[in-house]
Amino acid sequence: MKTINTGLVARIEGHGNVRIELEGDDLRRIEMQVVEGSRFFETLIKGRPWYEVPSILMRICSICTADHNLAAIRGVENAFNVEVSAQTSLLRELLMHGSIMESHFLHIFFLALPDLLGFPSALHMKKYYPEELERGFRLKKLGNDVQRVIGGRAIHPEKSKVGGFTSLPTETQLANLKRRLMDAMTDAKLTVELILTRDYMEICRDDNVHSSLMPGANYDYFGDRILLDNTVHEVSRYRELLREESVGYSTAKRCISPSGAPIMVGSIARLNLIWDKLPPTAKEFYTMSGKFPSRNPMDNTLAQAIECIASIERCVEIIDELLSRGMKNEKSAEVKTKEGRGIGAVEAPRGTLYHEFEFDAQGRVRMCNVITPTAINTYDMEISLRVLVESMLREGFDEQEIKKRAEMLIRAYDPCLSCSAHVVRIRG
Amino acid sequence: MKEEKIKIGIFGLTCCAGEELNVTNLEEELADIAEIVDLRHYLMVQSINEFPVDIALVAGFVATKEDEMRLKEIRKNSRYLIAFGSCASSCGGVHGLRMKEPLSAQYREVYGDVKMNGEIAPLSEIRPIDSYVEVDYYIRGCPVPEEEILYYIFKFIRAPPVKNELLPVNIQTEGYGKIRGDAFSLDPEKCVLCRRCVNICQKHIGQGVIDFISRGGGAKVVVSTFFGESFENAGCILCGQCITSCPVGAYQVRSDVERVKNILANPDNFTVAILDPMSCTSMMQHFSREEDFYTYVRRVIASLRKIGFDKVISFTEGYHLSLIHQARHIMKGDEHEKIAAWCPAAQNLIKKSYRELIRYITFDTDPLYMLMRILRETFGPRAKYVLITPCVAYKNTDEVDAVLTAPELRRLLSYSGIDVDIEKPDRAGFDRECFHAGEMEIMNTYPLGPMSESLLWYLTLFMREEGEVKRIQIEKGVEEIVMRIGETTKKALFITVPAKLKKYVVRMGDYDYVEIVPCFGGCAGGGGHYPPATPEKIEERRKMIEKYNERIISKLNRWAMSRAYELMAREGFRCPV
Amino acid sequence: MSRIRKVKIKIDDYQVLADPGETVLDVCRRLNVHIPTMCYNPLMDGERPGSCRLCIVAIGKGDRIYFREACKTPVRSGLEVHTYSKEIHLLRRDIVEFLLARHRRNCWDCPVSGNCPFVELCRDYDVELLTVCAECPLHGEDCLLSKGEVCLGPLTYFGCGASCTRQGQWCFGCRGLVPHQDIIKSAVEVYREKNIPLEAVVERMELFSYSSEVIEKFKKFAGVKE
Repeated sequence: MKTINTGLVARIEGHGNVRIELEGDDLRRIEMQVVEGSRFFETLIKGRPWYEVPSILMRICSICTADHNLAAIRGVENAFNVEVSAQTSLLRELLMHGSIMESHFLHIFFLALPDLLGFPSALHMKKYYPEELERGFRLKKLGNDVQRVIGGRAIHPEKSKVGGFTSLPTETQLANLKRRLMDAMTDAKLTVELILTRDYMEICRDDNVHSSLMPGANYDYFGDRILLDNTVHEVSRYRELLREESVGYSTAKRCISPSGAPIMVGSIARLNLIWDKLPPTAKEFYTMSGKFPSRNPMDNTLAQAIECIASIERCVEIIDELLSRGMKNEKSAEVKTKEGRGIGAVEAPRGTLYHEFEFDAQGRVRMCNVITPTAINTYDMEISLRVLVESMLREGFDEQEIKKRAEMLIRAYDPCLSCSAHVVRIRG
Repeated sequence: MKEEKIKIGIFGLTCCAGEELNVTNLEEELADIAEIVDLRHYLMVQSINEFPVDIALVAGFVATKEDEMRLKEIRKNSRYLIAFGSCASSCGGVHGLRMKEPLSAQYREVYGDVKMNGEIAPLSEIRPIDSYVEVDYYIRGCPVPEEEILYYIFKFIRAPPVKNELLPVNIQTEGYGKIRGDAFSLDPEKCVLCRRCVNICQKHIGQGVIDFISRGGGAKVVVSTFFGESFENAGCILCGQCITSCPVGAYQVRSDVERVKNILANPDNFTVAILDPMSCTSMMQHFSREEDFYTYVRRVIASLRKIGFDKVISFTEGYHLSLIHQARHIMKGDEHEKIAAWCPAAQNLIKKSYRELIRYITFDTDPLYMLMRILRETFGPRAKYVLITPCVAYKNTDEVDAVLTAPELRRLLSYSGIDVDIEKPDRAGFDRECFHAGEMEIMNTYPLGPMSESLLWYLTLFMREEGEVKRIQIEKGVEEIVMRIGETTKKALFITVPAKLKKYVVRMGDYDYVEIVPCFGGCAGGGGHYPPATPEKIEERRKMIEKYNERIISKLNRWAMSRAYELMAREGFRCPV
Repeated sequence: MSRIRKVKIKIDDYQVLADPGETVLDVCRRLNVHIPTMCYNPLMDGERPGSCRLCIVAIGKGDRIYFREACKTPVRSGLEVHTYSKEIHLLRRDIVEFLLARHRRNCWDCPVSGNCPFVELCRDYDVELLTVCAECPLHGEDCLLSKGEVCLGPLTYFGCGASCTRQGQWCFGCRGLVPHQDIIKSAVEVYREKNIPLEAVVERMELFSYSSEVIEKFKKFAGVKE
């Protein structure tokens, strides 16, 4: 029996290893091992007051920090029935889109593009693709700046709190952002076109189920209902829909759908399920690409680039609405604590993110449950790896090539292993 | 000699990857840095990662045996290991909360009966990384701000790290009491004996109110007035330059914020705010995200109305009244209006140390005094007046009910929950119904600027002819200004270092007009701005006011000049002749 | 007008030209070579106080090196100046500590907080005796403590630019708490002065520094029961 280990996979968030056990030419076993240490967020947060909850949970991850922050805030607000103003909701949507842009562009340019262009890192691309590298920095910086203006910081936005924001952006700042967003549209379109010119692997997965939240009228990242392929469910049923289990070789848990099939969340799932809500330019590129609806996980990078175009359009619309209403000096919504439960669900860049809390009458955490998109995806990743490795063995590829492509497949999913490892409770 | 590039490695143990991500947030600068240094190990961004490195930036904490092994490997293969971020430098950061309950209970709750492989099983105790390996420097933050990352990278390129230790320095306070005054006080326990205020008061102003004094058997030296007497008794003119020059904030201006809060809280009060746009300049410099000063002033006016002021008047109208008045008397050659009375600190200087010059100055032509006469006529004696000014010398005035400096205004607004940047700019601007049409016309035609220029403008109005100005520097801080309008010549003395005034007392007869400016940069450097003052900040404030003036004045032309003169002649001005 | 003869000196191994009558500090400021200062007042640049001694530089070469204030050293032909070395770093560090030791740290009521020169000095010379309050521009009635918020600014290591408090969010102490007993004592005093319940402070401190010794010391000084 032979074992192949990829070692710590480079160019992903967090630490993980793929372990492949072969018996002759047959694949015996494949393990997606997340070695990132468990951090036990759900148990360490017990007993802490409600206003600390977003600040603690957003430190689960740094790339999707604004998403954890907003999911936690919505969970707390639902538990206490807090109503926020329209201005706050609009600002939160803007923050979400900023986070999407930053995360997607980071993945596209710095984690995945080096594979597509054949370099060990984005920095090595400077000599041969200087414009593309600069474009990547510019676009990522734009996503970061949206988060800075609305949330206060690019990583761990402290301004965003239960009830509102501790300080507001000025109209000048919003107008400046709008101008930069409109200028960035050309760059975003070129990014999609660049990806379309590159070849990448085809892995067909028709055995899995796609899931995302169902947003309102627009392609936004908040929603109160879950889509599982074409069935619609209330968010409160999330635990039945995503049954979790632990495995001893990984600190991350995995999720299985009620039918036993692996679940995939993320950009491909969203585009497959709710593409009709895309704004015009994004929809144009969606149709033009010819790859959707997609059953190939390697299309994720392209899907992310299309979502970024959608985000730019939506950001401009949201800023226009904020400016036409005029920014107002508002106080945060008042919070009256009571015993109860609340669920906050958002679509993070990598897929659906669920936060659930139970509070006591003083507003202290009694129970906390977090399911991250990468935790949902880990089972699906393993199956994809299996499909890939089996086909490579059939075609006689050597060990080096198998390791390389396994890593590329992991990267395409854009996993956030720190998120998946903080992990979740086992009893439903 | 080609120097070898320094090798840097960026590592993360168990963490949220915030520090590693924040390094990419340096954007283009990261690409530049990658050319100056050898970025050898950076798992998140490159797939080729090698040892050894010179400087290892290690983020995260040790949560599993696997982390511990990696940490020891990093230590073995690096010259300097730097704890990067709060998780590394202070025992796990937020994860430390996990230790309030035993791990086994938490594990069971989360993973049930599933046993994890030994290397990735969680360790029961979270220990700081310096208990596993030796750490050479600590960079703190959650996350470490991007500017700090850049700063430290360059710092370590320049020189190897010197460990930042918390040295056992005790804070010595001598128990020496504050030096008090009505307008401000000095805390000797904050003073670091830098000598700036002493130099200014002795060599720039010439009053020598404070000095280095030995106390307690000659062992301790503090900055103080002689015998600890109050500032007013020691000859202080209240220019406030000591306040703005102190780098460590040992001088504190008396706060009138409570007084104003009480005035506004009483619903029976009719409240009038007199706002000097100059005090908005340093507020905008320090706090604002606004880019246009004119809009900012409008927002401040809106904010003042929102917290309850019934009227908001511009203080610059007072300056105009004072200038017009003075110009008329200088034209007539009146001796008792020779010295400009528009600076209250200069007035104090004359009153306290140059009593022989009192006959050349009329104190009633002070701008505030002249303005208040008109306002009291319009709004009545029972209204409450609050002055917002960059001038500390106005703190002791009896003309108004409270005086706020720029920092106090900000504190008052912030206390009331107002973010000035978000307030809609006031449509109407300042209230002007208390001024006659003729006064308004005059005040609209020329901005305030260097005094000689403004004075020349008003002289031009009276003479109905164009004039010119010539400046000659006699010595540092003393300028002679010659104004020629038609057949008339007027000579002025402009002193910006009041200590030099003494020499010119005997030469008063040579001049038609004398101006003394104790504050560096004029009102832009007033004591009521945010300390500490630097030449760049003062220059920026002057430019802001210049741009503001450009927006509010009408264009200069002969028609405007002559019309203004006619109105002046017809309606007269309400100021003491 | 007669030509002024320039003086040739060396600063950090670079040849530069200076005017006679200038000091080493004048030349460095003109060329943007950074030297820390405190008592030097750019508004009265004719003055040479020399009281703070921060601008210490090394003059000379080889065995004949001596340390002198740059603001008091006039230029002369052939002068060799080094503005930075490990020795200078340690000397300046001692001076920063000395200056800090006689400065009462009530940053929460200090008019220059947010613009305090000590922040840059402590960062450049690795002295960790300052808290977030020194960088926070809110003071007096503006300070979050005066508004009743439990802000950990008085206890937390400086360096973040007070980014949270500036935007209205009380400090969480995420950078870590300073384990210096004078700082902890002053913090207890200011919380008492602003009527902030000390038990609430202890709970906040636990969020980021659960196992820190600072919490024990704080409880001891504050008289907080378990």
